[in-house]
Amino acid sequence: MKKQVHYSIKILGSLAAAIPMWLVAQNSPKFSMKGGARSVLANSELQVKDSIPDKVTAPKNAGGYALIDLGFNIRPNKNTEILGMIRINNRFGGFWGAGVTFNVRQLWLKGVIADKVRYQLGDINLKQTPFTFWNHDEDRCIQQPAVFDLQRDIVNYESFYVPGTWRQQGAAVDFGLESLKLKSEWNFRGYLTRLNATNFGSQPERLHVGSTANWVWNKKATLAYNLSRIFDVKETAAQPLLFQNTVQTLSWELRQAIGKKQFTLGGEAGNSSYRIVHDTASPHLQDFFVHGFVKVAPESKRWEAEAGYINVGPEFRSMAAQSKLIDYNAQPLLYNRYTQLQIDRPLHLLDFIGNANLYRTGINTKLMVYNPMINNVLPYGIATFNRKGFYAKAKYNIVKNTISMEAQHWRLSEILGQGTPELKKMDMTRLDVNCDAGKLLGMKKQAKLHVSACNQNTRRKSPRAYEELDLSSLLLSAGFELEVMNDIDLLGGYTALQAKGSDLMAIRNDYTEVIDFAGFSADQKHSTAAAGFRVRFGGKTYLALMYQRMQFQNKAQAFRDYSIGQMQAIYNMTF
Amino acid sequence: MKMKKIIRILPLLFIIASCKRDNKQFEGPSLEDLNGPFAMVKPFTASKTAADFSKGETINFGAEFTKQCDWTITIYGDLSKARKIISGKSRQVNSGNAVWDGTTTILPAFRTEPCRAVLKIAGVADSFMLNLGVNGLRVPQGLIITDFESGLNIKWNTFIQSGANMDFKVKTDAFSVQGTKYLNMAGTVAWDWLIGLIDFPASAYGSPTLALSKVPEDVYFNCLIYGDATPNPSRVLFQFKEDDNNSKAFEGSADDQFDKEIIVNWQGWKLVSFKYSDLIHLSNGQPAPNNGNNRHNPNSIVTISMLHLANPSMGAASTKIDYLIFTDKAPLQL
Repeated sequence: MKKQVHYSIKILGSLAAAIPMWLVAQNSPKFSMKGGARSVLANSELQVKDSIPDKVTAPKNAGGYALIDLGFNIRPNKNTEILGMIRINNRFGGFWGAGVTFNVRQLWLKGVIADKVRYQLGDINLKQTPFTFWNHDEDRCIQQPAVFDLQRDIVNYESFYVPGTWRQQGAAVDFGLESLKLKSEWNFRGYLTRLNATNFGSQPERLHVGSTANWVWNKKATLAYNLSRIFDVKETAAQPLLFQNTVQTLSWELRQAIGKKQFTLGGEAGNSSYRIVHDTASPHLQDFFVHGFVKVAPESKRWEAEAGYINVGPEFRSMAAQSKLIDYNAQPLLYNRYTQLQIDRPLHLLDFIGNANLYRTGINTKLMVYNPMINNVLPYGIATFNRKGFYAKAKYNIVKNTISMEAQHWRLSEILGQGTPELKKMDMTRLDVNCDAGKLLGMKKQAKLHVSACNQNTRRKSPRAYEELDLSSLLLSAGFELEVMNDIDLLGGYTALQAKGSDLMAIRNDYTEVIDFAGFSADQKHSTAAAGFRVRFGGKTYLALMYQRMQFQNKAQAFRDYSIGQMQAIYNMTF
Repeated sequence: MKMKKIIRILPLLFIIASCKRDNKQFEGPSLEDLNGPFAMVKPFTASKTAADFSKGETINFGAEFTKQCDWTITIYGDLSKARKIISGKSRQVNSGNAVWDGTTTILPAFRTEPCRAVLKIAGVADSFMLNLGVNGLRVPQGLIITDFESGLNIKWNTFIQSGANMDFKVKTDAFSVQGTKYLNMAGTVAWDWLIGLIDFPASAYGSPTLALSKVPEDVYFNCLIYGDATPNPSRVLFQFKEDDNNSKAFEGSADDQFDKEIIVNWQGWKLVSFKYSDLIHLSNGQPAPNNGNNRHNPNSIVTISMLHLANPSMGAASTKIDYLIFTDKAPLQL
């Protein structure tokens, strides 16, 4: 007997990153406004421990700004939504409007074609899989207490950061097919973005195209094919060189309940190709990776445990998954030079937390530098090349979910040595503990405590002394959030970075090949203590007043030690 | 159930299929080469103590170090003071990277003479020396216009101004760079840029045009020029005159002429080489349109004119020249 299979086209709810907000209900107004406003006022003071008096740098710095983002949300019909957002920014002290700037902050259009296919054009937050197209945010190894999160939230807003996604300009589309008879779904997502516009000379038009086709069976098994390809368009520049980076992967996830526990067996494997066509000096880098994990959680989801294995080849290149959010070559806005010799101020841990100027929003087709003190184990997230090894993760919620703990441990090594057959071995241990003390103690007011730490070690042992390496770093943070009066919180926190030891950093050419090594040694301590009040006005509106003191110590070059005290008032509103 | 099994096996297949990579030892330069201790594994050697380069003989050098090094072998001519420099970056010095075929790096050219080869390694205080000998000189391949060893050919046309202290003669003295003779060109001409010239007609070499390749990219012209540190730098202008219309002679109104002006602003002897296809026509030192077929035809050259020029208002000018030669596909290796 011939079986009949019925298909229906459905709209996916899974392309959350590509189209973050689904079309609003049909009775929404045709025109509405959304946006935010913020004002920051800061007064800083720099102190330097240098025997030569600094008569060049002004030790005190005051400044601030007020800005408003006005978004015009238009729904011309039930299937279309348009957002245009402009920003008006006014630096305090601008004379007769001289410090005022007007910018277009975002512009997008999204909708549904024939009630079946969703699309979005313009500014889009996109992600795919951790090895194809992903923002790993690998330099934020620990959580931060609320007093620092106020600054981190501003950075996230300014850099359009949504976990895992990159803000891109282009178009995205998705649709799905569902067969009830076969208990199967077939989903397709695709995107095309523009990374660089041609300058009609040396730089060709550079595009990024990607797609994911996945098959979901009975909600128990998922198998997906993922493609991410960055390429230059032929004949769009006055030179023949064409950059190409293609990554193809298969990802899978199998879910099975055994007793009262849910088991998940998942992973991703694939390969990459990286080259510059018509460039005779360019190598053709090709490599593969494998990532597999098993996860188990009880029905109550009170805890979760995961163990996994990664093997990412030394020549695996996936620039859309290996771009970094922080540009370590960028300069801080505050006190970017100091001392009588006006040297560059070394970046402090708090610069990485709260300085939006260091953050990038785009995909970089060259490998960006990383800071081995911040993350030397997985500097490009799980997509870091030349790594193999195991990891384990655990989450645990106790006492009616008032205390949550997350821990993870990575034990990795290189696959191919750098300059020697001896391999570097690395380990990383992370711990985050959050306690809702208010709920735990039955208080009516909020009281939250937080502790995070991340310890990393990189070692290479060798019979030859000049090949031996040992670098350790510790990131930690602790803080509290106490509601002292209705809607008024007392915030406090401490965060620090300590790094000691040495490593050899690979110097790479434009083709990402290692051509030399530079010695790196550190004996540094960065710390920041902060305290303040936050007044909540409901929703996402608050006024915060806080004081923080950053201290930078470099035992190898004590004359560069500095501290910055900063009083900040932040008013933030989102509507 | 069958589908389930397939789904479960797929990832395993992927893992198994993926486990193969290039068999590299490590990435990047060797740390041993960059930071390891230096020692000689094999001593500095030469394949022979003397060579007759006129017979095509070569001397191969050998050495081996514990790490990759920047090394330089300098061969000094005891009589000529000529120098040949061979350098490289490697762990081994061998016939692949250190061969001396009798050529010269710093002029004058080698003579039949005793020599010393000295190996120096960057970052190493010691140097290593070998005694060698040159039994016969290398004979470069190419069409020699002149090496002045037989003086001025009567089939050439010469014109020398009647200025002050004119010295336009073939000489044999300590300035000799190749062989024993060279042409000295010196004098003061206060009324004209031209101090003197020589035309080398193809007929002086037994044919209506010079026996050169017809492919201009393959033809190189070379000469040795000596620069004097005088306030009035000499200019040596070469004019390559073609017969494009087969009239057996150069006609300015119907044939191409390609020119090369060399401003002699250095001290000592220097090998000057240029590709024929790179030449343009000059008029009073400025690029100008040609009158022939506007193509480089080295096999149609009927005359080469060599002019010694200098600024008439700046006093005396002096230069020396030797070994005018065409080579094929590459500049002269003297």
